[in-house]
Order: sequence, then C-alpha cells, then structure tokens
Amino acid sequence: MISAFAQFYFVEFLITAITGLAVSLIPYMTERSIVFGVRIPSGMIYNSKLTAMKRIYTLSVIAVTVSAIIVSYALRYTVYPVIVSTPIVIAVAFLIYLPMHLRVAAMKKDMGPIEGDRTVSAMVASGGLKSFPWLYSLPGLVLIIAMFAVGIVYYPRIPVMFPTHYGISGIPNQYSEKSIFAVLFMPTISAIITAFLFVLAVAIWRTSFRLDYGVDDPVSRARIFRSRTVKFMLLVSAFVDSTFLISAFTEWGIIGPFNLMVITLPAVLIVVAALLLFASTGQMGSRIRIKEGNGAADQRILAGEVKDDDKYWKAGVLYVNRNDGRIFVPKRFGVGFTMNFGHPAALALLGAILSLPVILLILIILKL
Amino acid sequence: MSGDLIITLDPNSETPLYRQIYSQIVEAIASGRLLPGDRLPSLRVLAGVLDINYHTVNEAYEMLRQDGFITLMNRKRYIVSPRKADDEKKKHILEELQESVIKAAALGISYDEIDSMTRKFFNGGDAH
Repeated sequence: MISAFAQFYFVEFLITAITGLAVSLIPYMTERSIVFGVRIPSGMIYNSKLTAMKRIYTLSVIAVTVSAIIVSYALRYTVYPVIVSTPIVIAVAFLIYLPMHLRVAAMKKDMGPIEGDRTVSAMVASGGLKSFPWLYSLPGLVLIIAMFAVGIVYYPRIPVMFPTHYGISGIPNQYSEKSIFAVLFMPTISAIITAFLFVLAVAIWRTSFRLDYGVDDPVSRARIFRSRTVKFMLLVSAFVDSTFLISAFTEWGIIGPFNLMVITLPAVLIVVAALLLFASTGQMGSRIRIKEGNGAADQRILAGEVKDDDKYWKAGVLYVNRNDGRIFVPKRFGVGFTMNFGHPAALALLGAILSLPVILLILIILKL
Repeated sequence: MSGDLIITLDPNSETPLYRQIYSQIVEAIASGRLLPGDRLPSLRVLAGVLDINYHTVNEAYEMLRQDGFITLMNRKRYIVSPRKADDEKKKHILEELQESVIKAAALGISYDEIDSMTRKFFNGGDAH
C-alpha cells in the first residue's frame, strides 16, 4: 500500500509535469501571426531566428519543470506542504518568455510597421445563446442536486459531531457540530463555484474576437475553439462538483475512509484533459485540422495582414484597452481567454475572484 | 451556421468603414446568419475588436436603425428587427432595385448573372 504522503507527492508532481509541458509548448499553440506576444507581419512568420527562439524556450521550460520536480522531491521531508512547484515553473517560464518577447518586438520594429495596403480587420461575434451547449451544464447540475438531496435525506443519520477536515494521512483532525449550515456547507460552495463558472462560460460564448490571417478557414477555427473552450469549462465545473460530492459524502460517513487519491483524481483528470484540448485545438483553433474544401474563407481575410494591436498588450500578455467593450479576450501567449484590464467590469471581476478565498475563509471561520 | 456575425474591414477601400459595417450586417440579416431577435455586439465591443473609432460603429448602427434593420432596446441593446417592410419602404426599395436592374441591363449584364447573385438571399435558394 502506497502511503498517503507518497500519493500526495505523486499527484503534485503529475500536475507540475503536465503544467510545465503545457507551458513549454505555448509558442507552438498561438495564432500564426503572434510570436512571443508580438503581432508579426506575414514576412516574419518563417524567420529562422524565431524558430530557434521557440525551440530554446520550450527546452528551457522543460528543463525548469524537471528541476522543480527533482528539487521538491529532494525537499519532501523538510518543506511541507509543497504545492509551490507549479507556480514556480509558471513564474520562471515567464522570466524566460520576457526577453524573447522584447527581442521579437525589436525585430519587428526593424522591419517597419505592419500598416500597409493589405491591413484588414475581421471579427466573429456570437449572435446569441440559442446554440449554447446547454447539455454540457447538465452533469454539474445533476451532481449539485444529488448532493443537496442526499444531504437532506441523510441528515438525521449524521452524528452530532462529524469530521470536516482531514490530515494528509486520511485521519480526521477537525470536527464540526451538526447543523443544516455545517452539513450543507460543501454543496453550497460547490453550487456557488458552478454558478460562477457557468456565468463565465456564457460570457465567453458571447464574446467577439479577431481572426487570424494566412490560415485556412479562420472562421471555423474560431468557432470550434470557442465551442470547445466553453464545453470544457462546463465539464470542469462538473469535475469540481464531483470532488465536492466525494468530500461531502466522506464527511457525512456515506463513503469512506478518506482517500486522497480519489479526492485528487478529478484535478488530475482536468489537467490531462486541458493538455489534450490545448494540444489538439491551439489558440483560436490554430492547431485544428481543417478538411480540404471546407474553407469557405473570405478572400479578404486570406489576403490581409492583421492590424497591429501590440500597443494594447503590455509585455504581450496583459490586455489593457479602455475603448474595447469586451471583458474577455483570447490570450496572446497561451490558450484560452484573459481579461481586458482596461474594462471596469473586468477589474471588478478580478476583485471578486481574489476575494473569493477570503469569503470562503470567513465562512469557514463562522462555521467553526 | 446561424448566430455568428462576421465583419471584415478594409481600411484602404473607397467605401467608408461605417458603410462596410452597414452592408455586412444587412447581408448577414438577408442570408439568415442573423435572425430577428438576435442581439448585435455593443458599440464598444465592435469598436474594440475591429480597433476603430466608437463613433464609426455608432454611425453604422444608427443608419441600420433608421433603415429599420435593427431596433434599439433600453438605450444600449441593438436587436435585429422582424423581416418586414411597410408599403412606403417596399415601394422605395423596389424603385431603387428597378433603377439598378435597368442600369445592369443597359450595361449588358445577363439575367442569369443577376439571378445567381440574388437567389441565395431568398427562401428556396441555396441560403444557409
């Protein structure tokens, strides 16, 4: 039998390894006209210096990931709990990215401005929620309803003092006095997180974005990308709910004993699914294989250059545009969406996300 | 696929930007990509994505509204209007159309060319 401690490290290393791999592959996942966060003219796409820089970045980040895992394994008995290796890999990857971003920006400057007689802007905007993948929100909803239903039905059988926190070895180290609030705490938090992710998914479904050029059928790519991203978000919330369901059922004594492997399995599955989605889709669908003859692309899109929008992207990663009504925009260096930090609602949302752990903490303190 | 609006702007075209936006939205409505009741992106969203002036988008939307293609709800939501024209508007459009068709005929453009161009916007054609 593997010890709980070993299981914990296994999960931790697995998440670090997968995250590190995903971050290392970013240069190959972005839109073709964006390299290290810089919008490049089509004349630069096949530049050999850029190809070499991408390779250096990828190999460096893989090396950092491997080192982080080795170091945190070596420190396993001294530093506890070690949940910092993933953030460290991400931070170091950014430090590798930054000089490359500046280098590409300088190379582009030498080539002169993109603005020319081939500059075109194109966008896709969602018309509405009629085609929203509602079905994908069903698993999460079923899990939440199941949690509340079981919690209420099982309530009389829950002991007056029941375990609400477990040590790494799986032995309860904290108990709560039975009350409706304490018993239904897990389902409530789960419902709040699900509702939050659902609102985000709807917002992303409705967002508009710019198209890339020089690729077949950027319109279909953008649509498939948006659709997969939204479906993934909805399934992530179902995975989160299943973690809460397992935790709640363990607390209530329906299943048990507490098993770290089972509880962290959804997290591992999410990260693996994210990597697969990431590699098969790419940012804005750049990696999707489009069938021949399917590309009913607008000739104007194929012939054009993308209008230069570098001035809105700080360090190539932070989007700040006060004149843009969007809250969510596709990432430049990465796969998925980021926020427009020039939009008041985005700043409010950021505040809400950051205050969520604080609210949770207050709730936990109130509960005790 | 219905529901998605695609707008492509060419800043070097002789057609002004607001006019390019106007005609592409009208075309999206005609081809069924935008349906009555669909909501258009807000002025600020369109201006942001296309990286153009807010007032340019406003000009296009205002023209679409005056021509009856879209309706302004609650001062900020632009909704695609039902597809129907009153008698006066119908008369006006048909007159315009007649003038264009006469010019086309005079310039030797064949009936088949006009037919294949117009067919996709009407039911029973190859509308998507």
